Amino acid sequence: MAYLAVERVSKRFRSTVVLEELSLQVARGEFVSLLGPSGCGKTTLLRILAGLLAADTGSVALDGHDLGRLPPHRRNVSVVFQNYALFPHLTVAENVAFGPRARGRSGGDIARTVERLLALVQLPDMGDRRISALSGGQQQRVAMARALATEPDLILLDEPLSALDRKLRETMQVELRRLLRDLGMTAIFVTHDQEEALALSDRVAVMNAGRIEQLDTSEAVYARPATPFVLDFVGQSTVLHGTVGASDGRALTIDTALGPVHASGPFARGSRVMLAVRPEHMQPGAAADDSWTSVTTPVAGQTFLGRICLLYCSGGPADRIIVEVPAQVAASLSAGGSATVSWRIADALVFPAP
Amino acid sequence: MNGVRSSMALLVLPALLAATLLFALPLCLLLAGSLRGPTGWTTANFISFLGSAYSWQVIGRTLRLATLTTLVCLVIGYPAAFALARTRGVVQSLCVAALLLPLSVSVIVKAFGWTILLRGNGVVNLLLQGIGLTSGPVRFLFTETGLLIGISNIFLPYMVLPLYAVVRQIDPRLADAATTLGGGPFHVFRRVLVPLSMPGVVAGVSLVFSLATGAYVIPTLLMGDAYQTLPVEIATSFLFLQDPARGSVAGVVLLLLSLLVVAASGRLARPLR
Repeated sequence: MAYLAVERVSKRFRSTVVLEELSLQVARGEFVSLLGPSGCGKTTLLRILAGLLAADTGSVALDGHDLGRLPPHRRNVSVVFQNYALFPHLTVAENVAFGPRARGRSGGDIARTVERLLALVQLPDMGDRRISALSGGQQQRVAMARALATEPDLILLDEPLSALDRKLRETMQVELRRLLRDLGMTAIFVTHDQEEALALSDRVAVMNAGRIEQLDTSEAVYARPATPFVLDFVGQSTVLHGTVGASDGRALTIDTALGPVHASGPFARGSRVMLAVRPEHMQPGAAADDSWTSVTTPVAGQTFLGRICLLYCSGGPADRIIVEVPAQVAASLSAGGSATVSWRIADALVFPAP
Repeated sequence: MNGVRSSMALLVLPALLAATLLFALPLCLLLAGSLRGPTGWTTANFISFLGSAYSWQVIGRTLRLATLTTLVCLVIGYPAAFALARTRGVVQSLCVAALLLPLSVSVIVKAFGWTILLRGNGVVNLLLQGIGLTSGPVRFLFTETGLLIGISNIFLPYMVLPLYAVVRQIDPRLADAATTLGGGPFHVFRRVLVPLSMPGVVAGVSLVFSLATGAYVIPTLLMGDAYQTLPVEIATSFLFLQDPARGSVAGVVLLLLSLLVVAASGRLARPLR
């Protein structure tokens, strides 16, 4: 029995379908990210879970209890909003105390909670500060403390780190993950930043156009994307389009703009397919043996990333080839020349052409 | 840097000149007039004005009218400002236009309009009898109720506009945040929306209160000469009694009252934040 069970939830605004029969199960203490481009419905789902928005159809149950049309203030679900939505007229301590106070807890109890949480988010002695006197990172911590002060059954995070600069964001990611893990908190984290989702989550739900395209661990979502959308949205990859020229039901030869390549998959001769390989599985040079395949391609350019370099090559109109190469090797592969690149057949993914 | 600053100072000059010539100077003349007796400077005018029970009645009536007007405007204007802030697009433009347009009509016209609406066979009475709320015509004209209806209507935009300006700046996610933290609708209203709208309340209350203390045309038209407030008293002193000293004293008192209330409203609102 899942702790949080979202069953076939649909939502439309006028004629636009925002969520389409979406289901999602989350275990107690799990950290699940909703990852997708803007407009994919992830924030809508979050607002439905919080009770700020009613689903048209479907149900949401938390710990066995149907949340139904329960208004937000009767659910024990906290939200950390994008840009935090801290109360500007209250001090840091009063912000944190807002939840316990609204729930009618006693004064001494509230004071202890506030003190404990401000210590937890490493802002002790900041209770009397005005919100406007805090930095972005500090405001983020206050927002966390405020959301945790009600001891929620579920915490929803709506792009909570997107307003921070890159360096601070990375520090806060680690801190946020440790804090929620230590508390055993069940969390749903909405983001459009794939690195953030992969780094933080137990499982990632990749969303597109109101559905979950894939729900799996970070590793699986990256290594075995279920659909071309997931492949495209999470990480970079080489993509070659072509037609299956020969097939024995398992081993394929695909005719691409750059010539035939070997692959494996249950595709019939003549079907249009799309072949994808992650950059780190590609290497410069010819195929070493039968378990490898290769193409020769014009070099379009390269991006230096410090230890490694990404080599971009071109193929057919919708094709792209991205190869991760050590920086010292990249120097010999300049734009305008051509390169032979290879990959293991087992590392390539084959999808029906979209 | 210095050049920029001095040219900035130059920009203020017209406003400064206008304020000095049209505002500060007449105020000084008013103050001088109130302190001038037949034989030179004196406080006798103030002593005689403040020593009379009649003057205190007038002051009391002025404050009462201004307080009631402000209250009615606040009660009607506060929810209206919230509703207005939640509307969008064409509806919002229409509502704001409906609020602004009456400001382009002269107060005299509006006050006369109300005398027509409120009279015995006026629209208001026909309506009340039509829906069966009253059997005969209700007397509104020359009653405080009628005055209050008219004056509140005329000053309402001055309450709604500053409130609306503040309320629409309130991030709707603050209310969302408050409700997810366990705040019921009343708690969210009392602890988040009311405190955040306070600057608008202070501005609206100050505006309407000072306008209502200074209203001359509206009480005169809707209540007649028997209803003496400070502005009516000032006019009477200057125009009929030919007593500029008394008029000046009443003017200074009126000014002080308004300033006092405007200053106090900011203070009094603080515990609500």
